[in-house]
Amino acid sequence: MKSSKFLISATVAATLAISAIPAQAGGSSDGYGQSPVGKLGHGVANMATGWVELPKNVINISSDSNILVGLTWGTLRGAFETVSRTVVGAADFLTFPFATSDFAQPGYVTERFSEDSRYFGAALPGHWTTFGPLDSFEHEDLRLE
Amino acid sequence: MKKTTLAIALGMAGLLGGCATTPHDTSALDAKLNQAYSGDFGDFMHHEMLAIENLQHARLIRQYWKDDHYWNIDLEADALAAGDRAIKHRQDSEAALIRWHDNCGRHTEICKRLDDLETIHMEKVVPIAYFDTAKSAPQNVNQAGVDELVRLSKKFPYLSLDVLGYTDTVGAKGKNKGLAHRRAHAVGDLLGKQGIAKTTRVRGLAVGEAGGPDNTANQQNRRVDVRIDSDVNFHRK
Repeated sequence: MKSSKFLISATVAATLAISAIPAQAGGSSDGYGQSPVGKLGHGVANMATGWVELPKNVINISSDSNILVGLTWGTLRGAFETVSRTVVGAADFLTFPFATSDFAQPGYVTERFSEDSRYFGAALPGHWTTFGPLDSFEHEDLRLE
Repeated sequence: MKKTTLAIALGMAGLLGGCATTPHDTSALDAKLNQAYSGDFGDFMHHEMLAIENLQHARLIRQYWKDDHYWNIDLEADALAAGDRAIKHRQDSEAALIRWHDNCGRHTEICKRLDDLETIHMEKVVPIAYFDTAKSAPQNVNQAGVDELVRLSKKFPYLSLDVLGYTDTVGAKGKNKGLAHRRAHAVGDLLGKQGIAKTTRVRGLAVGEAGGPDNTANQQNRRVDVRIDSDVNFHRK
């Protein structure tokens, strides 16, 4: 009985989180903090997907340096980022009726995947400095000589 | 046990065989792609495309920069490098187009048209007709000049021609002005009859006495010239 309740809750949370993440094809979620719906959606999404910061850091730091640095420093940094995004998601969720600045930038972990996340305008040290391989636009193709 | 091992080995071999890909022969397609990009015009297309792509990239990065996106990446250097590449490809593209234009052996018609354009964009005056003293009907017509004007007027429908009437200094200045006017109109009518395109703007202008000592007959001054308009914008209508 307990496990079925947990399963239902987890399914509802996951559905909410997924539906809150918009298609990344076009716009940006900048300014989401001004709307209660935006804050609620981002809060749920960031609590559910905060863990994606881990592979994001590993992938981008590996691309910027090498796989060894990615797996060590990227994992460590990603763990901090995971906690940060999840906590910030909870903060957005709890304060959703009140308009605020954006607590997390980019608003979703999958948005502008090469941009290092900032929370309350601050970033962790040791970030990468080049575009990673998983952005939706084709930087590599445009660098044709 | 042996049978199981054999079955696994066969299964693995089957899987690997199924996954193996046969290389495609792309030579026919490669030949077409090379043909599309071959020569000076192909170079022009190649560099023009890259110039546009790099320009778009530079603009995209400038927008990120303005929006404070990708703050961790040196966008300025990236955008400036893309701008440099766009400039270089634009220059290469222009150079390829000039080479293509200069290679008239292969596209004579294009070069002829461009030469014609170059010609009409320079101010050009063509003597068309000569007259007897006090007459407004042409005594001698430069038929080759008329034919050239007819040809240009058909090729460039919005050509503009100024028909300039002159006289020598025999007679009163006022009368000579009127005579020059009649001569210009006579040549304008002549051009219409010879087949100047209807879209061509023909304007008669009486210049009057062409110069020289007073009361002196001069066959070279009893003439009508046609000036081809050099207004580039007018031809772009």
